[in-house]
Amino acid sequence: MRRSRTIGNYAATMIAVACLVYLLLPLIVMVATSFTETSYLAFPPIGFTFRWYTEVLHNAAYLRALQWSAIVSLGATACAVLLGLPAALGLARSHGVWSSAISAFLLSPLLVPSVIVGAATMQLAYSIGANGSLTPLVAGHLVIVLPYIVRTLMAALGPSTLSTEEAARDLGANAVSAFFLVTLPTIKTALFAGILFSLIISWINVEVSVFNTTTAMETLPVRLFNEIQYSIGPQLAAVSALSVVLAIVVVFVIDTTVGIDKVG
Amino acid sequence: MSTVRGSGILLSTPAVLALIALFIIPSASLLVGGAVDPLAAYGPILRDSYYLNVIFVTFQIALLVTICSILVGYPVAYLVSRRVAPGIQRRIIYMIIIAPLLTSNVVRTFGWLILLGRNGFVNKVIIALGISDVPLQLLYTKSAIVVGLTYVMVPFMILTIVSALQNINNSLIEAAFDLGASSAGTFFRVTLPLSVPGIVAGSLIVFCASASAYVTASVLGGGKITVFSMLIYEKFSVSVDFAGGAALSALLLILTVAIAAIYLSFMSRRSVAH
Repeated sequence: MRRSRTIGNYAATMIAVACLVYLLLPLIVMVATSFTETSYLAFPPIGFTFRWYTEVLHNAAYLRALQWSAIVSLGATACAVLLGLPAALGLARSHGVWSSAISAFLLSPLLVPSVIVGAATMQLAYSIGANGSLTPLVAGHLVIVLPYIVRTLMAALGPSTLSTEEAARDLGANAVSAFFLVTLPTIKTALFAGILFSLIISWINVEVSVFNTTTAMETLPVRLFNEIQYSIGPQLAAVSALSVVLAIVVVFVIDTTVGIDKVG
Repeated sequence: MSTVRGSGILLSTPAVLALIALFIIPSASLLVGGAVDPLAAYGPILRDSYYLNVIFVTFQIALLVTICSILVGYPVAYLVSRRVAPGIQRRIIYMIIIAPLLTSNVVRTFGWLILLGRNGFVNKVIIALGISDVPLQLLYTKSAIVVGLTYVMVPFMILTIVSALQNINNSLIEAAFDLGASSAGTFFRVTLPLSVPGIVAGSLIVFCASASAYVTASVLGGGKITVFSMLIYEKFSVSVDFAGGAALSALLLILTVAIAAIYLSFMSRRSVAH
């Protein structure tokens, strides 16, 4: 295929590179600003210090928020796997109107703005007197992460996995051992990817959390959201930089396990 | 083996029940809360110019963000799917696109808070280039929200357009070249039209997400600009007006579902035509 070096081609590539710079700029700015010695946000940063990172890692409010985020993300993901794995297994091997409808239904939270999930969960919690407790918060997160688990697993439970499991059954294995010894190892990459997505989606969520958290029970993004409106400074840049570093690490993990260009 | 297949659907029962209890019922009661006495709930909203202004501003921002996302996202999508060979280069670009998606909206927006301040980098560049003698008020404006929200939404637009571009049959492009078309000609008359479904899908995702945006608008608007989701939050958490909040949520949900429905009917009509 011809690839002529026209001005048009160069221009197109330059525009694309400029856009990529736009995508990188805020990340670079946050990481750089986190090292400034000034107590206000300065970019380009003035001086160099790790002081803000030390303060963040000793900040009790952030550490508590980190704990709550971990509890909520792990709890929601665990429930999503317990519910979603059997569902994906069952739906992948059924055909017909009902199974398509149920698959679409399980993916439906993806269509709804998460502020609505947050508000609805909060209203439900109030009506049963459970507002401000952990359960509605985890429930709201479960709703938004379940579709990711179901979708990732169903994509991996294709006909070849099914026929391998049937072969195992034909050779005498019962349903349980066929699942654990044959199907599970085959889908473990997809399961890993699904769990990773679920953890991340829950970890970074603000909209559901902000309706269902209290000052005593805050997730990390909600803590950040409050700080950004009331006490802005390089500490926030340090926390954000840590988030960016974590994101880059996760992206590398995804690339080495699944292959990042297969995600899109 | 038919018993294995038949019981398949039964395995999804716990998940279905969980979603009904935790998603459908709460959402339905949220909507019903506004519908029980529609006049009392929707009346104040639709008659009050404050609410109508918020709705208008939200739509304005969502539309601008969608347009900007296309302008920024299409070149990158084109670059990564048609101009960069599969391999380390493509994977690095994908990492740049996807990494921000793994951080919270707060983090994604914070960078712009630093950049758009009175003494921020953008103002420094503006003064250095002589565009203005004094720092411009960039933050806490609709423009700031558009810039920040575009940043949040562009990865979705890129990934959707990449998917569409990758589905284009290469032989069509080769045929255009063989018939004598230039690079630009081939792009504008073959590639671009064939990628329109991707642009449409991306636009719908971005528009819906932008219309329901909360964090970015709160942070970059600084309280001076109010968008729809901020209103919903205020109704539920500040003024404890659950009925009003329910009505607003219903409006948002109806908008989102309507857009999704229009898109799905558009897509099914296209596939029937083919």
